[in-house]
Amino acid sequence: MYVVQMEDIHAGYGKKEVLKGATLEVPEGQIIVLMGPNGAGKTTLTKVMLGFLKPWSGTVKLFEKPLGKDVFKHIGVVFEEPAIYEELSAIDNVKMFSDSYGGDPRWALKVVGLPEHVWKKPVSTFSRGMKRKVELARALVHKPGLMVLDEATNGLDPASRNEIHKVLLSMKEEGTSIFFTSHYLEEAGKLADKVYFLKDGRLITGEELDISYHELFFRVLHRSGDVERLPATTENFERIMSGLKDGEILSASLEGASLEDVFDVLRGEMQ
Amino acid sequence: MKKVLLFNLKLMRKNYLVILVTVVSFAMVLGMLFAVKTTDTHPPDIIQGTIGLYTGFPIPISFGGIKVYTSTAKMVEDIKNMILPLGVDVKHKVLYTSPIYASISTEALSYMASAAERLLKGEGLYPYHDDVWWDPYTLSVGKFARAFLLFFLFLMDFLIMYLSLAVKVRLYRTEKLWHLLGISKVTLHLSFVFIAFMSAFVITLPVFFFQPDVYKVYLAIVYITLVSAGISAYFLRYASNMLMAYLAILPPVALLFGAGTYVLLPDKLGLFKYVPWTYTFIDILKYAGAEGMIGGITPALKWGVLVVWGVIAIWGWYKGVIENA
Repeated sequence: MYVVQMEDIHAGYGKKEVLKGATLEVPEGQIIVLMGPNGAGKTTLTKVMLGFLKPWSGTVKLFEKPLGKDVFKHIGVVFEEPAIYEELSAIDNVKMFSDSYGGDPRWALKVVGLPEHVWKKPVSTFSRGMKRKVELARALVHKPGLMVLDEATNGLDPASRNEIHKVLLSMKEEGTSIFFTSHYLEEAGKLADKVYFLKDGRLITGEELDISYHELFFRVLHRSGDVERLPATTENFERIMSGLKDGEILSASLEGASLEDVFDVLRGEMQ
Repeated sequence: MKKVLLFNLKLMRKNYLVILVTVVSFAMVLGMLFAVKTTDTHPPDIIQGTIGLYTGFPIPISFGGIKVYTSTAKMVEDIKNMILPLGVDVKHKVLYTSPIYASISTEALSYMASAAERLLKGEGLYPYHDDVWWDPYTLSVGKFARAFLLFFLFLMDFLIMYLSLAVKVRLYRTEKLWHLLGISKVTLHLSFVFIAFMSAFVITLPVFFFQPDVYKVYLAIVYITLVSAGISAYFLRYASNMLMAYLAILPPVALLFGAGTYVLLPDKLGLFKYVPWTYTFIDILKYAGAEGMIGGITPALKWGVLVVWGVIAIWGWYKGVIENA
């Protein structure tokens, strides 16, 4: 079964078309990571998936049903921008969902590793990483079948990111499907069953990267401290994934090409 | 809808902004109620003070039968011309013979008659105050003014409550969460409207039942001031539009202005009666102070209140404007 089915989605803002025929499927129990540079349309795709933005055309189904309250109660979402009541305590923020969709807030806060002594403190006193944990607890309190995380680890320190990764992997083991957007390749390497790249409004897989290699770039940090920018080809993608696994590469992110990058690639082709 | 309402009520409980708004609104209603009730003898200053407090402008109003004199001579002349020729049965004759003053209440007429008698006897116009320019020709505030104030208070409370809820949701981007809970934006805002309406209704309702006395005016005004300065500071921290900023700024500005003017232009010098735009708050302070309490409040206490008043207003400005600039 597919928990997410998006087919030939065209969507945008005003006259600007951001998604130009995006097609995506998330199989049950898998982690799908969507990568793309800033401004590629990852958030737009997430908005369409969750019903915040109506697509111009195309179909969206979650759990093989059209969007609606029956579907929403099986979803947990962590947004890129924090959506949280800062005056409320951590536990009250989580209860907002558990009151409606069920679940135990204390269990959820334990799962995400938020120390018990801060549960009743106002969220406004929390660090960014702690706030993220509260949002994660709220997203998983009702044990959803699908978790959607839109750049949820952006701006977090590596330790906080690792903790969130652990939670996601343990949820996957319990059968939760996860859709995760990011521009960190190491997250894809660590979490993903399948990686999609968003390019020019369409979704492509790692195997299809060569189609547009001169428009996307990987920024790679080697163990030696060297930073390298590589065209986003299938070969480079696989090399980076393998480097991340054996520890030769510490981190890698996806970026859009600058004019200089395009020039370098074209010059290389001409030679 | 029920869940939305319950959660929002809970949110209000945790939201000190809303609590403060509720408290200040309630205090304002009480204050205004006392003010209105006690304006049978001194309406213009209190009413104008009230309007000034809310709008930031001490408006020289002339509605609902209220007439304000800024010249003692002119007022004395009017009293003589209007009342003295009419003899003993002054109230009714004035009422029937002078269409201009048809809306004058019997209390006001009675007061005018007694003032005229005092004038004839050479006793001065007003028993405890010589500065008659602001008080004797006052006409009953009556139903119009009370209804106006009630409506104004209701509207203010409604708007503040609604905006504070709506702004919070927007500020924390929580529309998205409500969407995931299957609550549309329309439903969400309808719940805010309902809460704001009920809050305004409950707060405004007691006005109909209270029987205030003059001493409470003092407490009410102090209460209003203290709380409104605090709330202003809080408002400004989250002011996301001009309306909120406007609502937030008014009370401390008005109160600082009033308190400052009172300190700078003491009654003894008799200066402020020549500066029409100062009398709004001065008269509130005066009325709330020792004179209004017929000597019941010591000057030290009066000054103490003024100092606290100013400190809180300055604190509000510091927290709201300077710290968040």
